[in-house]
Amino acid sequence: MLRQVLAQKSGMLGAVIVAIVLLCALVAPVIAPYDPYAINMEEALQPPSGAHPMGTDVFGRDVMSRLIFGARISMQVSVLSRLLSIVLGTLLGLVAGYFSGRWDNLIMRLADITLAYPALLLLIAVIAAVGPSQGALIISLGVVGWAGVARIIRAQVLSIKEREFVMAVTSLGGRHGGILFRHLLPNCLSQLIIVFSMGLGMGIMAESSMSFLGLGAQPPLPSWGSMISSGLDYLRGAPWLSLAPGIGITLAVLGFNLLGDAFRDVLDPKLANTGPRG
Amino acid sequence: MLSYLLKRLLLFVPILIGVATVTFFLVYVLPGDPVLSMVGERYDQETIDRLRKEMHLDEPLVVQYGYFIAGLARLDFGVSYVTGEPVWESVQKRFPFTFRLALCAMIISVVIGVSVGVLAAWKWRTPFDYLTMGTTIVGISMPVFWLGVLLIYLFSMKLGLLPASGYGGGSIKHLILPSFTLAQASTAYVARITRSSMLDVVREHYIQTARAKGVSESRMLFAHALRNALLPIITVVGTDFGSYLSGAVLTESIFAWPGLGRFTLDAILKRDIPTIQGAVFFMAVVFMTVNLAVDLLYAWIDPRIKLQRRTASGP
Repeated sequence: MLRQVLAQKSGMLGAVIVAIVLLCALVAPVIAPYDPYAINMEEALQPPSGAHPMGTDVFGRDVMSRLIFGARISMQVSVLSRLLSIVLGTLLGLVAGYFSGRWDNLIMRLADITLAYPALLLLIAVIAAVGPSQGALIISLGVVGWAGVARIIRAQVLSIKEREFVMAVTSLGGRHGGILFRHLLPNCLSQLIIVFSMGLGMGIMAESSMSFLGLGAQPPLPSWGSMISSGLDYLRGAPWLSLAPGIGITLAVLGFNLLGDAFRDVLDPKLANTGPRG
Repeated sequence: MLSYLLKRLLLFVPILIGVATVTFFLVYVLPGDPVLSMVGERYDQETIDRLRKEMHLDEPLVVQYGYFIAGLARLDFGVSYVTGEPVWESVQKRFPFTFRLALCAMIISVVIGVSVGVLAAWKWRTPFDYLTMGTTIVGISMPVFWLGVLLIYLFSMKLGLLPASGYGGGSIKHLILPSFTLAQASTAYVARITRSSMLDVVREHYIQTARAKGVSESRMLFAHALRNALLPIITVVGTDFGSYLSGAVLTESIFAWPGLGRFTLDAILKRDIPTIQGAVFFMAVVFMTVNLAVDLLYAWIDPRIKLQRRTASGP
């Protein structure tokens, strides 16, 4: 499967970008040229140069090092929150699709309610309630994302539960739990891979949007979104402060989108060519 | 059609109540005493008690919930803790700004998105196709607030052509940057979905029949293919329109646009509970209504849909 994904040009490009972002996140201290927190007022607001490829910020901190460390925050938030959405959404989607009737109704109406909210405002309200922090963002992003996953998993379960192999297990007296987790869940795997890889891009986007509004990881943590917003005051004289992290976000999201697209083309050719969403 | 409409409307009601309930309890966990933030520095116990009574804050949560629901039914969202204005009035005042911006963004994304998508499908597997599809995937990957920053930098700071922020008394100049910013993601997405559904349709038999009959290529593209590719486009456009109407928080914040999104963000940051409840509820209703309208339009265009309830897995 991986070979098929990499055989596509866009899949390969996505994989390379994702690999770079992951590398930045994993070994940031090794590859970052400077300490991202080291304040050096003498070098404040330096334009990009050989010593500082992306310039320095108001406190003389190296923008490139902060960008590299920012990958950590982005990846932590998007991976963990997406995993949480997937666990919640898969459990509820499996139950809704398999048992149908009352449970299905209840769970799907809850999904409707969740999806009826403007997602970003819901997040903002929750974060305003519990106070901005990286942990709060991960949990609320994860919880808000359950409904989309649940719908997809439910649809998949509905389409496979009438198939012969499931009927066979049922007629042999298979227990609900066994059928759900041993037979239905593995058949949702390709959906889960697609949802996960597409979702990571959206997670990065959500993290940066929230930290742009000041509701994500708090300074001095180098989150990409907050780097953009703190650079806004100096946009005229020092545009690199806001432009560099934006390029970082766009590239990272692009990588995950391309990779997600490639996974989907391989795993679910029906949906090919539509681009990320869902 | 009528029974389908009724069925959909009936489904609408429980979700509405659910949304109201979640809105009420969600906001209730906000820390801080609203009365204290209202009276500010110079307060005495008597005023606090009086206000608490006026706002029913001395009653049990369930009773407050009752007041809240009863208020909603009368379109009474209460009074802002910060400005003292009725929330419903402020929401009504702000909504036209959001509507204006959303409508503009939607027109941009339909016009540009559909034309680019049709052309890309027509020029399938040519450099034009690759170039536009490459551009659109970058467009989808770009955060909207960053595009806003980029456009401000380019068009207001460097070139000095367009104003960077504000409503400007409704001038077209002030509308351009925010609406293109807001339109970005859905333009890209509409282009992609148009292209892929056109390509799907082109492979169908009736198109081949038309082609065999000698129908001209361009007529086939617009009269036959595009018409049948409309459904997925409508879904995307409708969903996006709904979410723009329910507050383009980021775009409105960057451009200091006086719409509902920024209004609600301010209320959330100031913990103005009635305003948050009213605005969030209002936006959820708008969002749901647009989605319902899209579903009905869908059923009207494609009669097959009435017969089977969609097992919606999203677009």
